[in-house]
Amino acid sequence: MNVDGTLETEMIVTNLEYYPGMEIAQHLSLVQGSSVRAKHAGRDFMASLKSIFGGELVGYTELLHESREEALQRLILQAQSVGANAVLNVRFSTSSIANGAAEIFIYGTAVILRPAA
Amino acid sequence: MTQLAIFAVLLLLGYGFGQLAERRHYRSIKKREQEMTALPAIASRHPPSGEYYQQRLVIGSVVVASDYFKSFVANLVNVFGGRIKSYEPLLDRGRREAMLRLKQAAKSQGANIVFNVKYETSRIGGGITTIEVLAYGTALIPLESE
Amino acid sequence: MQYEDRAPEDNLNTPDHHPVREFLKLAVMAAVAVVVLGIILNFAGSRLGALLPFKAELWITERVHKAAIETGQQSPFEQKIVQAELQQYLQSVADKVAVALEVDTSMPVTLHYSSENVINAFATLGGHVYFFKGLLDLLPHENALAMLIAHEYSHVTLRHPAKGLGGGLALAIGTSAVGLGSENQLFSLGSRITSSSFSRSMETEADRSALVAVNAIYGHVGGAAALFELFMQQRQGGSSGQFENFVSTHPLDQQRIAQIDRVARDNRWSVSGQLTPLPDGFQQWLRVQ
Repeated sequence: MNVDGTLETEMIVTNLEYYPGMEIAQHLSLVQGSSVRAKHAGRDFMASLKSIFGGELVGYTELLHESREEALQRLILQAQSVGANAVLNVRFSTSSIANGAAEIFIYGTAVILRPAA
Repeated sequence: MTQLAIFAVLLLLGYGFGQLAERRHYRSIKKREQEMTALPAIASRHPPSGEYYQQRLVIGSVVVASDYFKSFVANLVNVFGGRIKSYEPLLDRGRREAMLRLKQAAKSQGANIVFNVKYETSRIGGGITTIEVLAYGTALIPLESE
Repeated sequence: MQYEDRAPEDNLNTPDHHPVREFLKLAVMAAVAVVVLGIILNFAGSRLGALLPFKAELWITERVHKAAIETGQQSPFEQKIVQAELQQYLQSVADKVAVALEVDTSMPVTLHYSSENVINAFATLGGHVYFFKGLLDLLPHENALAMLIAHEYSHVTLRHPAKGLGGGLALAIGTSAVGLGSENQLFSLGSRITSSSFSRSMETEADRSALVAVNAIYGHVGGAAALFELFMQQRQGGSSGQFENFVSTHPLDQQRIAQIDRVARDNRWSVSGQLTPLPDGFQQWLRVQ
């Protein structure tokens, strides 16, 4: 995923349930990607200072963005490994599993799409 | 005594800078929302059929922190119960900022609409309340643009 | 199908809100809650403390005494009166006070003396009463000494140390329960026993009871006020910190003197009479030890 929030891949990744103009030839499996990140000590310190004053904590925004990129990459790798060319109905979830550590979890349905007859 | 002084200074700093950050952020949000009205982002799961688009997952996310003052007030409210008004603008700002970033991502892809928008809010760390808001959806990009 | 992006009315999710006003309101509420809770806890704790049998007080002081000896520290209950004549004399006055106050034999009172130059005297758990040289040195006559001893005896008979301990413990439990205080406060029982501080109402109660004893012994309450006049002089003449410590929880001296007059008038006690002098050599006895 690029910093601007878009993804460069051949794999179709969407959170819709179908793809206009295409039909689902085969459902393959549920695929998922996850990434657990701890906050960076340096960033953490700056962020806790910054949080006194409020406002956006850019360091954390970037950190979570990187994690999401990684998790999405893993999702795509899983989809490729099952021979899919698309992942439909993708969902994101974030959970704070311990103080200072967050899990980014992405899952969806891996399918093979083919042009509608 | 020193502790009390530090606490008072933190409260004042938090209040001053927090209010400033909030006002500035809202001004920027309103301005950008105006600029983005050409690109609707909706929660519908069903894109128009019969038209051909390229689909792309787009996301927008932001981490925003409340400030020392607001967190303290919220902790006090926690004792007595009731509505925590000081956190409402924080969540509102986070959601709107995440949505703006999602739209920005969609726009840079040449999309003209985003479908099935979903929000996710999570709490980051302890101490002063800090949240991450993620907005994601599927951008529909007209095939002609390719 | 037409897709639009109309802006909904702003501020629906974030109505006007005055953070400073809210903060002030909450701060006042919190302060009131803390004070009310503190008063309730202190009251309930002192009520519970009063239910403690005197034997339990003795048990506690015994434990503190043993623990101090085991850890090689000086036990606060060891400071006996070394000078024989002083011991004899203080005990003789104390015995008269005990008879006048009808102190139960199940409530033994032990006298302690410290040659530290501190203007202080106090009563603590287990009937241990402490007198400091600084205060005894200033006493003008036996009547004032009897008033002082009777005052401390009254604290014991009225169970003030137990009430103070109960109230203090309840406060410590309360503050640590809401996360304001540390658990250490809870376990510093030892320091609580030797640094008993009583509320003003307790002091007033003890004064009243002491007056009964002084009147019973001497047939009048003359000279009892001398104790507080002495405090007043000390306070005006550039009081030392140690002195303030003792007096801060005590009602204002003038109020106490006024109370003596009032109680005497109500009971038709004579406020003047023959004052009994302190025995010769009293001041020398104090210097020993």
